[in-house]
Amino acid sequence: MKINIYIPILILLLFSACRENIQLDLNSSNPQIVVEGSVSVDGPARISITKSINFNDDNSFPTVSNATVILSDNIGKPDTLNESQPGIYTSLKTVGMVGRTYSLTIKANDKTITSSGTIPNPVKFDSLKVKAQGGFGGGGFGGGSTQTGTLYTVRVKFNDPENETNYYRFIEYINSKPTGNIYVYDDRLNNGKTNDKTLLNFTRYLLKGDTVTVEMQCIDKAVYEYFNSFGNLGMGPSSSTPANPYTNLNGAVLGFFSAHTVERKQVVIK
Amino acid sequence: MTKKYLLQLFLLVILFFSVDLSAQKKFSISGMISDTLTGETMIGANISIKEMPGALASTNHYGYYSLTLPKGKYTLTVGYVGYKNSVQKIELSENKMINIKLEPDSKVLTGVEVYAQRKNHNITSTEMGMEKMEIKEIAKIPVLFGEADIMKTLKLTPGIKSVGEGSGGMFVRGGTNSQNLILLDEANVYNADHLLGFFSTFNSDAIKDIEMYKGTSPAEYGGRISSVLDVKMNEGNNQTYHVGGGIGLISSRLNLEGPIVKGKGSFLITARRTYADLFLKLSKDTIINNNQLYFYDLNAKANYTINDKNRIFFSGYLGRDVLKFQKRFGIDWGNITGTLRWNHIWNEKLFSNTALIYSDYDYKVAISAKTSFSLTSVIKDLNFKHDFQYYINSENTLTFGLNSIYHTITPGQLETADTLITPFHLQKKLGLENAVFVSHVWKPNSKLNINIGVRLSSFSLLGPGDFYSYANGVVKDTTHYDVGKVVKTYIEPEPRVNVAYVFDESSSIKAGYDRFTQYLHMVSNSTSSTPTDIWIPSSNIVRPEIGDQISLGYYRNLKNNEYQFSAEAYYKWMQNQLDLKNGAQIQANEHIEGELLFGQGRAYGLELLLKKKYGKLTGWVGYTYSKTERKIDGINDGNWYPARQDITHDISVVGIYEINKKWTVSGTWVFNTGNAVTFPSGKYTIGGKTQFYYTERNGYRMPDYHRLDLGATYTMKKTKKFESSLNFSVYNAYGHKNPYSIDFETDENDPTKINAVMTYLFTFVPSITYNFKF
Repeated sequence: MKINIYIPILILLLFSACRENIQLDLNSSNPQIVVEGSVSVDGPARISITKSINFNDDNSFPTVSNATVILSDNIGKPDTLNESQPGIYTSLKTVGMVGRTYSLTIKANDKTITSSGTIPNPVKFDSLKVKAQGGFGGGGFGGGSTQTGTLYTVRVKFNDPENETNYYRFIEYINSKPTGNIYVYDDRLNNGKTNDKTLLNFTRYLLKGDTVTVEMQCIDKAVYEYFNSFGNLGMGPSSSTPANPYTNLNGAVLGFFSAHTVERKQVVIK
Repeated sequence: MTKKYLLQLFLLVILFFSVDLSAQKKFSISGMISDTLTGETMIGANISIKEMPGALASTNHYGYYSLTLPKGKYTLTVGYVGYKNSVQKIELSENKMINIKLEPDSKVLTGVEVYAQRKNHNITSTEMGMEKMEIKEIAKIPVLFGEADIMKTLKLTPGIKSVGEGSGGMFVRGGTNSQNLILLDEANVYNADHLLGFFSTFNSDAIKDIEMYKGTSPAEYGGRISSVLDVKMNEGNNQTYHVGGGIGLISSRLNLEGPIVKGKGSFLITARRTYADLFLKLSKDTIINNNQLYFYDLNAKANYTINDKNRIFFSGYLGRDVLKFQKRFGIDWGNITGTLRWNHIWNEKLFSNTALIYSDYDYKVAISAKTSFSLTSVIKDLNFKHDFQYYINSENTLTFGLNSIYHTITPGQLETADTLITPFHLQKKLGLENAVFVSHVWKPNSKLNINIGVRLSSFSLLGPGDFYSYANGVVKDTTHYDVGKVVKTYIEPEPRVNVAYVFDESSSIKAGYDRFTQYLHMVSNSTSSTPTDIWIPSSNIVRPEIGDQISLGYYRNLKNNEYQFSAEAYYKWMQNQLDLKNGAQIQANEHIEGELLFGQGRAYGLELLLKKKYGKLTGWVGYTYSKTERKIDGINDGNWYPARQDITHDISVVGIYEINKKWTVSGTWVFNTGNAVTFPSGKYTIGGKTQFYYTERNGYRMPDYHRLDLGATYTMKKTKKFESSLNFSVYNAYGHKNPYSIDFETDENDPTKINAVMTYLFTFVPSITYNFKF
């Protein structure tokens, strides 16, 4: 329940004309290894390794090739992943099983990075509703963009089991491209109840024929804390002091490793 | 063990020198000093004896003075800035009660006669790090939306800062906004800002006196570690009825005062409301015109002088802010306080004040979009205070007393009609905060002025309820306590020592050491103070905050007190400072203590101030150099980092010029280097979206802040029966764009680039206010 978001949003609304680009002198930093790792109950295990760049560089993030990436569970043999694309290491052999703990070891550029995660019990993804909406008008929050299409809202519904602590992550794809917005929830306030969540996205302008796919993941506590500690959830000015999120990786500062269940639903705009 | 012995030794030192060893027969004169036209008692009026230059007294917060002299004939002079001196001959052969009424004289401020009255109180008093405001000055300073505001004026003096534009809060000598003790007629005000800092909760129409201590307050005060802002309101004219007020573009105010029984009792009512949201209604856009944004304040007071020795007072305050976003989301919050006080004069040397105070600060967040619920949080205080002032002789005054506050904090009640949300009531937190204090003002000779005191404070967290211990943020143990059982007690002695050494009547040097303890803490994961910040008590997990400050100052008056110069340096240590983990959930969280991070702070600075107090041109120039840092376990790898409110250079220039009887113009110019902020030093991608990489906490600075405000007051009519004036002001006259926030966004036209985008609020805001009084 991010109450404090509303206050900066209200300020922005009142003074929406008063924004302008400024020049800032930002320091450069040593490139850091960034790991996005996932083991899920369906699909190949996928570990992506990239590097961070300086703020003013163009947004082309270098990949890290020729790394040794090994996944193992607490039962079978370790599985060395193949670099199927530059910086992306996959394997069809490791398919996630509920309750199993998966360990990740990466050796790249003289660095060793490890992590682990346990796949929690699955919770059924009840429904996905995508509806056109009025409300926030055609301007969006990007500052007067000239988007074509109509603004849509996306709502997801699921029933949270009462007898355990559950954490959820939702990933939104528009025409198979991930939006990158972060949606994570715990069950602190809605334990045991039907959860009806709106995935906020103020730049979701869609045309007829567009496809909205939403992936629901049941994640563990460490992955929830990683995503929850991102200061800016993509919704305008953040009012808390930004910091790197709490990573569950050892030996690296950026990124995460997630072992989760998956269920997808899709809606095509008519 | 050692703490107890040190405390006893300290008390001995304080009390020893308060014994009057002189053999001569002495008598006391005592009484009340008040304004002859309004009946208002005067705080800090000076009483002097021509024949004995060392015999000086000044009135206390209730207008009472007491002076002990050997038997004899004397010339008694009473003076106060803006009033004609009262001179009378007295013959002292027994204790006498002498009440004196002073006549106002506005000529006195600008004329030559003023020489005799110009005060060098700033040189001789032990008060350092203290700012005393005169209401007449505050009314002339131009501010946003044209309304005189004591908080904004205080922020124009060295050592007291605000951070950025549009975020409220007052940061004193490197402390945080929650470390200020703000008192309105002795009641604690929890949130002194309206509307996110654009207005303060003080309606300056009815304020009598303001004393701001920047970490140097005497032992009478306690509870917060950075500063004390003691605001005293007028009592109300006890001679004649008056109505006054002002009508402005954004807000209006009205005040009524008058006698209940002429000369014996009076009342005062002031009210204020803004209507900023009326402008929002002008917009055609339904997103904008459907919002509500307003606040109102109401102050009501009454007092009655029962007899020569007894006077009773009642004060009440009610203030509320309402913010509604499109009928879907609303917050309203506010303070309610009520105070009952009794002044009693026991004898010619002993005065006491007893007060019973109730205060309530609450906020309510209501959401009615697809789901509807409301979240309420309340903090209630019941406070009993009793203090004595014992005027032993002209060298010694002893103040001692006690203070007991019963706190009830209800951190979160969630009510909902929605079946999909579980309503809950977070456990109430009950605490008892007590203090006893003794403070000795000692003037052994004409050169030395010493204020030494100690405050012994304690806090006990009480049951009923469950109390937790944590390991890595997860609950490790739960212990249940029954009603009235003590969960944890803290006892802290707080020594306060301030010394002034007067070289001559126009220069002095002062030094001090003061310790403060704070048992209630504010937890916020917002960089600007919001009304939804959470207050938590000290507990088995949270230790009391402790602030220690040493200060040294040099004071010099020039041209017969026309100019006052001060240079003050301080160093401050802060223990048990709190911060939060990233993404911490502070709303409705039973286990909020598991989200806390602990550490320490340190701050130091040099404050230079040159004031011109008399003449057609008055005002001041102030410069502050300061640094404030924190070291918190779990933040910045446990290394020292600049606190958000760290601002290195701060300059204020304030000028008020009385052109003639009709026109007064004023201007303020402020400049400060930017506060510390966390900006990215790199970027990377997660899930297809660019995210930012941060290397250190608060390693960058916001752009420099500066602006010029101009104002002009035109006195339309000024007779005994009716006064009116028009006040014009321009805030940010040359329109410098001072950032409210800086965010990083992908460029719309070039997705490979990220831009730094600044949001700024006010450039060139004119305002007109019409003020009247009859």
